[in-house]
This record gives sequence, C-alpha cells and structure tokens, in this order.
Amino acid sequence: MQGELDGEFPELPIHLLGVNGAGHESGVPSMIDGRVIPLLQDTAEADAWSDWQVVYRDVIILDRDNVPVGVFNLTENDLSNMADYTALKTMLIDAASL
Amino acid sequence: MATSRALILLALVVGCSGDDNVASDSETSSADSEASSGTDVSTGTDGSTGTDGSTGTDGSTGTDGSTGTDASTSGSTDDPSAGSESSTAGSTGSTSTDATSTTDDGSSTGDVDGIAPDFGLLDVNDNSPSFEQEVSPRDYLEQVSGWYYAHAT
Repeated sequence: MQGELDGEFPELPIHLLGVNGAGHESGVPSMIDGRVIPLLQDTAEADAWSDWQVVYRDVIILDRDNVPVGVFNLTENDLSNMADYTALKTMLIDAASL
Repeated sequence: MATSRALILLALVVGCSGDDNVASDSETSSADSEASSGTDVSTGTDGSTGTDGSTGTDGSTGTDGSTGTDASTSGSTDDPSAGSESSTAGSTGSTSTDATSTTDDGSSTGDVDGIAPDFGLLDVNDNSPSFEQEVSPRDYLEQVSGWYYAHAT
C-alpha cells in the first residue's frame, strides 16, 4: 500500500510503519520479508503498545499534528478484501488531504 | 440590719441560681433554634432535595451550630446518592467530573493531550531506509502516518 500511495499521491506525505510487540523479536524476519516500511521493535521500557492503548493489529492513523484520527483493525478488516483495503487507503488519503 | 442583709444575699443567691436555669433554658432553646435554623441553612444550601431535610435530623442530633455545618456537609455528601445533586453536588462532583472530562478530552479530542504518546524505537527492518535508526512519531509531524501494531504469531 505504501508504494501505491507514493505512486498515486506523491504530493501527499503518507507514511506507514509497523511496531512489533515487545518480546516478539523472533518474528521479525517473517514480518520484514518483502517489506520496505520501517518495522520498529517495541521494548518493555518504551512499551508503546500500552502507551497507545492499541489492540493487536490496530493501524493507528496520525494526522499532521500527531493526533490519532482513525483506527483500523486488520483482524476485523481483511486487507485481502478490496472493500477493506480501500477503506484503509481512503482513511489515510482523507487524513492527508485535510 | 444583719437579718435584712442576709435576706438580700439569700435573694441574690436564689436569684442567680434562677438565672442560671433560665440561661440554660434559653441556651437549650437557642440551640434548638440553631438546630432548626441549621436545618434550614443546610436545606437552603443544599437547596435541592428533601433528603437534606432528613439529613437535617443529623443536625438536630448535634444541636450545635457547628454540627449544623456538619449536617450540611454530610448533606452534601448524601446529595450525590440522592441523585438530585444540583449546585452543591455539582461543585463536589465537579472535581471528578472535571477529571473525567479531562480524561475524555485527552482520549478524544484534547488539544494537547490528544497527541499520540512519543517514543523512540529502533527500526529493525534492514530493507527500510531508516534501518537501525531510532524512529519517533514526532519524526512524522506535518505528515500523515499509519502505525501498524502487530507481531508474528
């Protein structure tokens, strides 16, 4: 999706990142395989997962002020489903278009 | 002469003791009136519920002005449970309400608190341009970012 956004909307500064749960470092190779977006490794000290109060597989969309403007859960929504894929993409584009 | 002096002294003594009784009576009545006025005050202060009137009974138990104050205090404590907490309960409840609204503000739209918590985490994707660099959400100010929280299962 990152490549698609960059290609279709080069004027919109949209960036996707992953945050791997603390203690799940062993899963990093499978998570980065074929992907170029940053994958950040959470730690017990930083505990970003708790700070952001996320649920597993949440995509938190931050606007230009770093304020959360949307949450899209990939367990509830399947990106292999075109409607769900488009919904997330639209959320990102809308946030960047404000 | 001595007899008349003795009679006068006796009269004074009797008179004084009588005054004491009267004074205590008046204190009692004034205490009663204070208690009732205390009830009135607490009712007036609480102003909202008849429950306060029954709380005023607590004030009459104390029968002191200070207890009347206590009564109004306990009355205000009772007010929230009475459900009709208006002004007094509102002022008491405003602390928790404010706290709640602050929390609400922070989690929903808060001007400052709404900003996502900051962190600095290492990028472990060797295919990424920021590999082995510390990345913060603040790096993406003035840009839109999507943060996918997951882990390999």
